[in-house]
Amino acid sequence: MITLAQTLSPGTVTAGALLPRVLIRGTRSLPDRTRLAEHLEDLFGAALGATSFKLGDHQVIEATFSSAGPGTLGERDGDRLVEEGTRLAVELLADPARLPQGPGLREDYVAEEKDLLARDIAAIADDRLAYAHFRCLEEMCRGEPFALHSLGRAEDLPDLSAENLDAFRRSLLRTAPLTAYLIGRLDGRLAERVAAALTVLGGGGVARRKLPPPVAHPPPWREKEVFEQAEVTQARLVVGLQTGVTPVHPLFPAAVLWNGLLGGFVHSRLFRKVREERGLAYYAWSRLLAVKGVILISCGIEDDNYRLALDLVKREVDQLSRGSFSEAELEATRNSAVGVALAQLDSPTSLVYGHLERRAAGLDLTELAPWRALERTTPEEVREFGRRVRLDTVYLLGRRRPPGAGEEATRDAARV
Amino acid sequence: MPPGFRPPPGWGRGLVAGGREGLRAEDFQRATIDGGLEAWVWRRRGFTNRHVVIATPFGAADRSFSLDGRVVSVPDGTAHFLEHLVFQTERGSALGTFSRLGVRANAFTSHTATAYYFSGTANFAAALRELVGLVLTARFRPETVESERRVIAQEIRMYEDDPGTRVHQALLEALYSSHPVRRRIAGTLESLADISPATLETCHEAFYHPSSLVLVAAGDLEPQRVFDLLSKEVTRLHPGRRAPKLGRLEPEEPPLPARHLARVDLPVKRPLFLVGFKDTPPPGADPWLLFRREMATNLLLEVLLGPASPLYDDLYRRGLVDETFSARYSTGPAFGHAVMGGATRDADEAAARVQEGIRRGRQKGISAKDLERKKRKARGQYVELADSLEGLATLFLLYRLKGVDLLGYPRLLEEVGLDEVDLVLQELFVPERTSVAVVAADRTGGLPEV
Repeated sequence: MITLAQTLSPGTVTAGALLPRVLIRGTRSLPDRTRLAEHLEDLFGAALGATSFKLGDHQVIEATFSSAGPGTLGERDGDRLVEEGTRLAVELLADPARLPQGPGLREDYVAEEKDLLARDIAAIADDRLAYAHFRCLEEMCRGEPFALHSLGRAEDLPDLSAENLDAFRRSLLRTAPLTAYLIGRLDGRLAERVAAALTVLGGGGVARRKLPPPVAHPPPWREKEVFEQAEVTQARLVVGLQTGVTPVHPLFPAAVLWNGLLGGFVHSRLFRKVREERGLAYYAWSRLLAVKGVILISCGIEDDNYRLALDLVKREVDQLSRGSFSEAELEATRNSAVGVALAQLDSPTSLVYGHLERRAAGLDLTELAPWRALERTTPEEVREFGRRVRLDTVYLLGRRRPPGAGEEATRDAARV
Repeated sequence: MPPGFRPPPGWGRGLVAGGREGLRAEDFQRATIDGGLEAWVWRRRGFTNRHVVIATPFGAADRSFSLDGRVVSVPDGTAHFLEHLVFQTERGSALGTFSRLGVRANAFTSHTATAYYFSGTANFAAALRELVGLVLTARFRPETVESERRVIAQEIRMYEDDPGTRVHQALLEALYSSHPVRRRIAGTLESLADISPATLETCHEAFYHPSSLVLVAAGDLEPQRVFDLLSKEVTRLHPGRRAPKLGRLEPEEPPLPARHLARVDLPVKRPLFLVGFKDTPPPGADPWLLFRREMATNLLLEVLLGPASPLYDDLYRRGLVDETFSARYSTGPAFGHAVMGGATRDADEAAARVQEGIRRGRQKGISAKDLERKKRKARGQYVELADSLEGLATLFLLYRLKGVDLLGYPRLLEEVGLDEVDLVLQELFVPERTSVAVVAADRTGGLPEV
């Protein structure tokens, strides 16, 4: 996997979302989707992908190749798959398909992908859960780069062309921090050959390129309550908490455990109180958005149960903020959190994203055993973290405004 | 038997060693535990995690069955309700118990099976005992049943808002007129209200006897130790109760779809479409033949509509499909269907062009070269399954419940020939077997078309 990162900004987020979609359409040697797909079939159904995603205040653009491991198919030259995969991923970024007459990327590909992206942006509310999460964070982080949607903004699309998108690509390769990951059963010689193939990208000084690390979300002035109306069968309640603790902070392992106590697992407070004891929701959990120092709480409820569910959520947040938890609860949470961290060792994708996240936050990259810090964290550190947690934004996507719900969001009619 | 379900000449069955392939048959060991529980250990060296999954062939499509000579009919959503209650104990949810052991447990219900599983790096023996104990000895206290009923109602409401679930459900309802595969897995709010503790208890008695269950443990495990542990636990919990006499009642289902078009009105910005082709596997068909039919049809779908097909490229460039497009064949007891589709800008045009493309594909036929390419891809993807402990363990188990071995896949793959694939193309992919389902915002407010 090869990744390039840029700081999220209104000026480039849409180009960052569009570019990988255009690049995956074809490379110089395999200039259209059909030839690319046929070639991948010949490589035993290997996969080549390109996408972009948001990591705190950064946008990461990635090209990924994956295939059966060397030797598993009884090939004479097992390394060939890996080397060909590297060549493809590099070519995808460095040498895209072009038409003889045009200076930029292929205009037809750019136009088609602009259309598709425009439709995806228009349809972000079709996935109610993802939309509710995005909207809560958008309300919470107004004015921060993180409030941008990872797909970008529809209004930028008309200005994007085959030519300026190619210029954007070249500038990324020239300036963006580049990280490449090679994961699998590989010997040192193969790794060296792969590293040599990567030097085409970036050129000199690539190791020194750095982005400013994502900025933690600042403490709220006041609690915000937002209601948004939509034709839904189930209302979605999302609550954002501000903590200010990112992976570089000494209390970060405590943050992982505190979130685990609140809603990271099925023995956690939210699952027990909201689902098991009251039967108010099918799902009720919380998630740590590490690089922003934010915790997101999510549950699907009936409109009429809004106040009840919110009070339950607030009570648990409040109790844990005041450090009210048992030793047994903490140990159960520690076991679970360590289990999750260890299980990531078997998953290449988790390893890569965990590493990217720590890297984006500006952490030392040599720590390959993040569970050790969880094993050492004391109850006092967890309580110390709890004191920093602030309730920031309460968001409800529902059919009708429940009594006592906050101001209706400025509704963009195109969204829901 | 209809054509296509006859074994081709010279075709055998059975387990085949994968040789140098990443998935090696010798890493799979089987034992029959007391009471008839079928247990497998997939020894996957070098993995940190361990994954255990246990399942019964009781799913949402099992609406009526015979138990010790009497016929039992259950409301929609019963298997799924039972799944929720298996994790409930006198001391509250057992999910928390797993969590405290540092392992993650969960469950799922399909049309044909209910499965329970955990994953973790520590406390393997304790978690295994807990899982087996829960599955074999469920309790149905009225207050727990009521509380879980409220939770499931929220789950059903969540699916109501999900366009992908809705379009798939609409397609199944159009393809089938009475086969219970058309039923919703979680049921409806109405059928949910009709499920009683007594019904749940009967189903548990019928389908959760060790002789119905299959278990797969995967990871860097010593097989004999796993079997010994299981044996001790099953004997302790289930001392020699006789296996119930179970019979499946095969539903009457006409060979052609109930309706050719189903529309769901949802306030979405991007419509979804699915095109389905209804197959007619005979009741009681040899599971290896169904497995082979599934493989042949999936290879065919790759040729017709895979990412390298001209048809897919044409649809994509017209903006009628995007990366969400997929095409798969599914089969189970007396049902089978090929389903293709995804998000689109114009559902009607997309469905029409898919059907027209398939019609032209049928006239043209497919080439040996095309088929070889798809087989090569399938072979690589089969080997890649070994990279996911959870994914492979689950897939292996689901095929065991159907009565086949996933490890037989490479051999079947070599055997499937052009004639066989062409036969599927000619007999299954015909207009009269087609239904189309659409989810779109219906601005006119009209009634659904039939």
